[in-house]
Amino acid sequence: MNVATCEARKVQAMEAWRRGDLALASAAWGELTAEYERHHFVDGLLALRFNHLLVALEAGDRPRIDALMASLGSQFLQIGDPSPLAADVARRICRLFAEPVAGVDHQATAALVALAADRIGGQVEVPRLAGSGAPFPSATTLEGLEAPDAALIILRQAARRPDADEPVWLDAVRRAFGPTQPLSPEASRVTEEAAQAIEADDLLHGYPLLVDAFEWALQNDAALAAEWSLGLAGMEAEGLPERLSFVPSLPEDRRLRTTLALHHRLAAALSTDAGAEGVALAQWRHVAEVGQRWLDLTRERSSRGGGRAEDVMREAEVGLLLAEALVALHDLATAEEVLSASVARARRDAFDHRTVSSQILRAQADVMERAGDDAEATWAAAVEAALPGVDAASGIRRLARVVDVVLTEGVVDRARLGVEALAGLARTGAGELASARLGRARALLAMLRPALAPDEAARTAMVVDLSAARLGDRAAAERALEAAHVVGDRTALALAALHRGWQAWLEADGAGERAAAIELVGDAAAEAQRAAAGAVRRGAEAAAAAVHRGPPRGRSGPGGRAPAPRRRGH
Amino acid sequence: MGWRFWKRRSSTEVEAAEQELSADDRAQAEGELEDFEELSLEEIDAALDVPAPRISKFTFERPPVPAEVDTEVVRSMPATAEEPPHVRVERVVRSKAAGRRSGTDLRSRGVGPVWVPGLLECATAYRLAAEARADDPAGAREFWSAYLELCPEDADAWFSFGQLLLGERRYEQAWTSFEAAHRHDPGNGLAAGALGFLSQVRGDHVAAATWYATAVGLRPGCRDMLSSLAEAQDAAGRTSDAARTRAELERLEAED
Repeated sequence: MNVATCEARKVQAMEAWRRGDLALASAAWGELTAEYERHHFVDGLLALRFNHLLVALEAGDRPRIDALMASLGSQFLQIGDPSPLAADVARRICRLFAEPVAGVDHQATAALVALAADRIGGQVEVPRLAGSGAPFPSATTLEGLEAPDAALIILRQAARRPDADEPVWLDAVRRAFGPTQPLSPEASRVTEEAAQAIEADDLLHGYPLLVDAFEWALQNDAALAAEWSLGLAGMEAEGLPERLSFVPSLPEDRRLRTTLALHHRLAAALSTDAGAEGVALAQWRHVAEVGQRWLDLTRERSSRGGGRAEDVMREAEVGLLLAEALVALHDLATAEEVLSASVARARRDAFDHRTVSSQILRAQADVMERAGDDAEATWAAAVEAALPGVDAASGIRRLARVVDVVLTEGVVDRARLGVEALAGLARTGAGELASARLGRARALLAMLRPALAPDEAARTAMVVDLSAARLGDRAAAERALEAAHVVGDRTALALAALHRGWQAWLEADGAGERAAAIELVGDAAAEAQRAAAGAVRRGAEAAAAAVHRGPPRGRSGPGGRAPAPRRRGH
Repeated sequence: MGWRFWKRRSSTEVEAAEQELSADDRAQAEGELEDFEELSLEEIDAALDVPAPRISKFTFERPPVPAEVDTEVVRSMPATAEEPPHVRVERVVRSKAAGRRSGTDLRSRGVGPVWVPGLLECATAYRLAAEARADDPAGAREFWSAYLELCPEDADAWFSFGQLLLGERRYEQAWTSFEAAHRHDPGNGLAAGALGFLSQVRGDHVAAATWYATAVGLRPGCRDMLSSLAEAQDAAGRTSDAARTRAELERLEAED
């Protein structure tokens, strides 16, 4: 089995699973396992066996469940320091068997959980609480509320187990925020002290402490963070002591940045599935408002002579979130304006960390690409900032040297950005140069993957493959479909399905192939109905209409334009 | 509409205040809800112009249940009545899929599939290992074979493998490699030139001349190819062709 066949088999397995054809999915995983065993590909085997176990659990295939649990257990026994993928699989196993599974030997699952937990230092997640039974408000109701209130309701529901009747888009929120962690002793102490200080009307001490707790909650308990955000807003509405502006830890500044991060993450999570478009827009508006408030506050502080050395870096970080919100609100001109100061700094490499430079340049290139401007130079600058010399590199050994440097410096995230920027650069061209760039991006990702968390690797692979799909590579569209399914990005899933269907339509020769292509485009349109309303859905609908009008003429889409619209980062 | 602005209170006070919310208050709120339902569209728009209700309070405790969800505002707009059609489609799809699935419900456990890295990763490792073993041809050969099994369409790799085999005088295997390189990248003049060289080694000068001619066609300015072509043409007994090739070679050298 070569790489292309293996990829096709992976795609087939995932597609079969999505369709509910568990027997076919199981057979495909089994075949792949044999091939991966031949190459002693440990990480790949762990992932394959885990997915196969999920399929077996869904099918209720007891003998296979037992065999796969035994294989996973023995693999956990063999690995020493776990790779990010192994750690992720271990966490998933702990979550999966946190409670007994009907029909599965409880002692065996307990043993597997013990082995898996041992690989991740015994940090087992606390299972989510069951649903409260209270009705979850509709999206229209949530749209009518203020963004912080809506965030609180959504995040509280997301902290609980999924209910059959709740909207599907809540799953994206759960994935974005992860499981709730118990209140740590330090956070508990800070919260207690904050409560006492506030009860005594000592806001000068209470407010900064509560901001500390808020920062902790953002990472560990999003619902609690949303609640404390409201508490902080209430205090601010009643008026804060003037002296707080001079507290060295800048609590107001931190409070705004943490609020920004909370609502940004929520807005991004709400932006992929159908049904939450209005709620997502309200959250994006709030992000834009809070980001602008932070910029105003910082400028005011600087004008008073209270500027800080780290303001430049923070302005860039806030600018990134603000620009993303403005893009979501279709205000590309303002987004470009917000980024402009940081872009100038990034171009002259004036930031302490090149990761920030590459993030800023990537955001700028993305905005330009959306606006239809020529973004080639900006994408090239983003690649150069993230992975110097990689675009000119020819040969796998030079790429390997670049990866070596990146891993030695411990800047894997920057390298990942570089790979995505390389895909962006490929999108600006066509032909052999674009193919070479995409090939380089894939080779880099293959070398970086062992250092990346599986979801990050999947997201980057998805961006690269969607870029290739846009240039007419049908196999890449299918790979993107698999990655989008894993990361749960509905919009990317619809876009990949659209690319696959449209390419099949363009390549169709004869009535049979045309009928199959029409079916694939129809699948894409159905998938797009489950994705958030927007350009991808419109593109899928246009493509569905076009394929029903008649056979393809040339390589262009309906009306001479490509049917698949561009999407952020893809 | 009975909303509360957030106020700093202890958790005990909050609970007490909630209990104090009398039946009269609730009746009044329900009355307001009925009034709201009777409003015209314009009046509803006007009503929605006021700031949205604040529905949270702050207790310094981990929230036991999201009681705020059950507010007057939420009750006034039941979720089921406003569900858009695509959500129903989703539900149908989900229930159909569930029909085929007899075992554990993974969604309720919050567990999904993990991304499986592809074999490209192994292939990359094999290739790097092969290229790093320049002084160990036997080891390099194994890694090249493993790589090419995974990436049989990589013309560059076939060419590099061919070079390695040529260095070891494994002419037959080298021929297969260069042939594969030429098949996967017919525009690569170097592979054609290598096949010309191997034809010469085999003593097949006619084939050598043909392969060199192909290589010269693909790399017109390459003097090494022209020189080899002239030699092969001489050996094949095509002296007039060889003379023309040498003339071309001299012209190129004169230009430089």
